[in-house]
Amino acid sequence: MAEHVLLVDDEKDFLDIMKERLSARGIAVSTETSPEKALKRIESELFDALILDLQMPGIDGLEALKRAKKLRPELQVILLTGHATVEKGVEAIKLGAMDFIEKPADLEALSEKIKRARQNKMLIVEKMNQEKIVEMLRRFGL
Amino acid sequence: MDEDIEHTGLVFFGKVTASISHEIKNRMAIINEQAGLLEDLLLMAERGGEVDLARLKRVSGAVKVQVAMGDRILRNMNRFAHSIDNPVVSVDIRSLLELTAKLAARLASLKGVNLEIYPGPENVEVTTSPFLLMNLLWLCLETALSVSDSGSELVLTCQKQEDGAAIGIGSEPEGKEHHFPEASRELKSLASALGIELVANEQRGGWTIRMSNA
Repeated sequence: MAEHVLLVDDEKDFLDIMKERLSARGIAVSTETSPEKALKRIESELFDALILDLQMPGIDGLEALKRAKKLRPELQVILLTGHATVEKGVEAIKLGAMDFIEKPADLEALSEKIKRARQNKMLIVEKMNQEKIVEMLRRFGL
Repeated sequence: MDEDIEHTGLVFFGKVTASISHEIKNRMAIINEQAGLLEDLLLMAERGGEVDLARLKRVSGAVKVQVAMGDRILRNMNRFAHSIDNPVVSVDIRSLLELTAKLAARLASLKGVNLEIYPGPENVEVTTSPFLLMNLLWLCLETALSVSDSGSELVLTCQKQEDGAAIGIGSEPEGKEHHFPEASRELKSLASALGIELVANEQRGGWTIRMSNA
């Protein structure tokens, strides 16, 4: 099954071409032009990774990252930015981002990160399921 | 020049160039992906795939669009950079207002605010410092944007006066209750240095900037 990512950027031209190129690499890509719309989508759909532009109208990328992780703790978030600073990068990682990439991004590297994001997510989901089973067994005194 | 005004000017210059560099970086990111798509298509062709000429034309057209957008950004940057060449000159106020609005467009877009310009029918020339006047307009816009809601509109107007011009910066719709903060110290200092009267517009929640050639 293909990796499924949600790509969020207010530049529609950027979204269109990234979708075309990532799709050609076997990655299923959904796009949104605002973080608000993306967060609504995360509530109802499952994605392996969320790729977020850091600066967008409305809520910024870091705030969107916080809200996305609250909704889906297992979701892997990669931040894309025009100008990466160490401070922003550290802040993003502290908030649970998987990676922080400066534009223009190397598409092969980004594709690899998306594949790794899916593996990370699966490990987290597996761990969460194990914890649920242990908790259930504990409740029943087993 | 007063040290405070010099510092305010440097901060303004820094903010504008940072904003422009973001815009250029965005264009470059798209052009980079378009070049990457051409590489993907070439690779497919090398492996015996059919060359989709319509697709190639589409990519070429899209690159041209991005280059034209980048060119517009750089032209604005160039005009902005040259605004410091002459301390005091005869300034086309409508043109300066339009340039400042273009430079502030990204700031407004990040706030989800639409900037609407009504430059007025008449050409208005005032002898002043173009850089300091742009700095003053920028500070007004920055203050107005800081209290504007996403989805709202800021209206910029320019009118010829008996011996000068009046620029209006206010919110839409008129008459709605607005809470614009008082003009900052930097804004007042700039207005004073330029001999400009900065009048708060209670009804519209903005300012009227009156300047004269006197």
